[in-house]
Amino acid sequence: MRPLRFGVVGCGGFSTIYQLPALRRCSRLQLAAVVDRDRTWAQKVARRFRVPTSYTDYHDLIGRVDAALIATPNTTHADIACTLLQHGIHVLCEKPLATTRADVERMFTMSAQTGARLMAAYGLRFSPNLSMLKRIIATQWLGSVHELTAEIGGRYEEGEQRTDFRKHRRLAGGGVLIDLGIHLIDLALWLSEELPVSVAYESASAQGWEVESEAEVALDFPGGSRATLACSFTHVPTNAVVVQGSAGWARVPLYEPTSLTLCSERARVCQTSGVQRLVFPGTFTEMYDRQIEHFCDAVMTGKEFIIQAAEVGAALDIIECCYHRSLHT
Amino acid sequence: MQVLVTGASGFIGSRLVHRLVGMGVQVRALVRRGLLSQPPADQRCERVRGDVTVLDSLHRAAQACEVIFHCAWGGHALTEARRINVLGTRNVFAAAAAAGVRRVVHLSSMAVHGQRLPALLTEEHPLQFQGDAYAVSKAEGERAAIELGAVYGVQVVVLRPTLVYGPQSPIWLLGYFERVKHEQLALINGGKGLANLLYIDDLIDVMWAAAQRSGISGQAFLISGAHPVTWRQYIDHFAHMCHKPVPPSVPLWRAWLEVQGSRVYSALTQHPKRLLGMDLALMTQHTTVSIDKARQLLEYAPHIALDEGMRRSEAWLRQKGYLPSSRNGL
Repeated sequence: MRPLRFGVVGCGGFSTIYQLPALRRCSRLQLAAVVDRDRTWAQKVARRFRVPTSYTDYHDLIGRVDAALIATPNTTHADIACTLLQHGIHVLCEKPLATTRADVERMFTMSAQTGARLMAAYGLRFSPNLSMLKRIIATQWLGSVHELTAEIGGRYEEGEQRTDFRKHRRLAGGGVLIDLGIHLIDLALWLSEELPVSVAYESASAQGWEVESEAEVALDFPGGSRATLACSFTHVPTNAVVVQGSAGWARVPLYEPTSLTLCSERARVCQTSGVQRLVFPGTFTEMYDRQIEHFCDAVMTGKEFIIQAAEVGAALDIIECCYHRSLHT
Repeated sequence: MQVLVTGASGFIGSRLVHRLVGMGVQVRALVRRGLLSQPPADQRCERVRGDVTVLDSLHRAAQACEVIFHCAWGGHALTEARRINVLGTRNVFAAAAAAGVRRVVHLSSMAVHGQRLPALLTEEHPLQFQGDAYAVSKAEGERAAIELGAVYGVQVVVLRPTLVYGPQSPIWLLGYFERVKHEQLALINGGKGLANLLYIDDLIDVMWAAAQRSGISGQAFLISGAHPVTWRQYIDHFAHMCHKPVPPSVPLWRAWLEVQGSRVYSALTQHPKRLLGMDLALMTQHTTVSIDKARQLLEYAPHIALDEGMRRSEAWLRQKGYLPSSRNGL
């Protein structure tokens, strides 16, 4: 099968550091064009990743590529994706897929109408240690899970982004919750396989931020378990997911995707020698490779994406619930 | 009495909160996150969201407090460490002054004295302002605490603890436990160097004394266990707990080479590195930390020796599943 002709819309820090290198490594696609509003930068990126063409307007991709990655500021995702989908271009869109539930609906409706596929890029879903955690929970090694705590973040100023769009509501569509917290909400829903019955939310904004720079969400699930999720752009939290069950616990560092710590009274190895730290082969960037591979595979073979529309919608519902409530308190 | 504890979710801060609440003290715990996760087990502990680097968040937290226990610290790189440990301390004092707080108990560290230490370390030994980010920022933070205490008229008592271990201790319990368990540790020169270990509850006792005693404002106190033990004695406990061999010993020159070339060493031998820069600095010390001043002025009397401290730590490790629940498991 001929490789997918691939375009990248938005050449900020995330594209150039993680996605473009992963796209280049993938044999099932061929990088055809990059798009960035800054012409010189687009050309520079194109040269660096040996992409034949660069544009300043994403409309130029129409008719020239089969699929595209959207990695632009959050509030622009929906319009760009809908235009591309309308013209039959498959879309892999960075999280948050959109900043409102209505936009998410609009995008998936467009995808259904035209048959062009749409997937939200939740890179962490492809992280080896989180896949392992999912299996550990499924095998009941932790017994019944009653608590999930997760933290994500870092000091925004120390990141490698090209613009500071995340500080501005107009472009970011929300703060750290929708930008980073969405990862944790997605993971909590994916790991618990349930929808929460109640949502609690707290946030704070540091100076210079139009949106929340710190947020905490607690989700109560029907089975009685609780997920507490914290995200921050102002300090460095643990960047880990910890799952507590009746028969043990597991800890997964988000930025060390090949490591997992397990304590389970049902696992023989833990019975004999306590907590185990598992390290499996792989590298940090592997999750992006796996994500692209999965996207291309599903597009080419017509298989389902592992990240489904309903899950994306549910995460956005929770975020809207948090933001909506915060406007009223 | 109403007190504020910064760094209340950390190892020392959380234990302090727990103990203070048990003593019937009205505790306000400053936390950056976790407000939604753990409902306060006891009504006497009020958790408030705040960050020592954000002055505004401290004003409300310091309201009506008589004492602040400043335990918050952080940062790996120097800029970040300074922001938290120096600016954070400045903010704590500004908030303390504004709220009319009587005293701040500032948790410093033995690290402020640097790494070249005399055989008997006392509080008179000068502070070092060069070295790693932690030590430098803690030294600067302590200096700021003393200065600002005088400027604002807030009493300040500085405690410089040594290596604090006990349940939940991230480095001196879990860190070395994991390394011994995974056989990723070597002793230097037979582990004859001295470790000035301090059990967490002894530290909490003296923190409380530092908040109470009069006539000690502006003073700094080194706080350690009753006497140092050798690294071999300390590490032996871990080896015994997890039925692992006592880590091999290497001479100092080799340890130095391994640390300097740890990447090359690991690549060549396919072994994970078994010595860190920290080990090199600590395992080669032959210093006894003097606690005479604390004994005299704070009536400090450490009463948990290494055997007992390690027994309690081991019980906690078993309870948390780090070790199998019964010894027969191994």
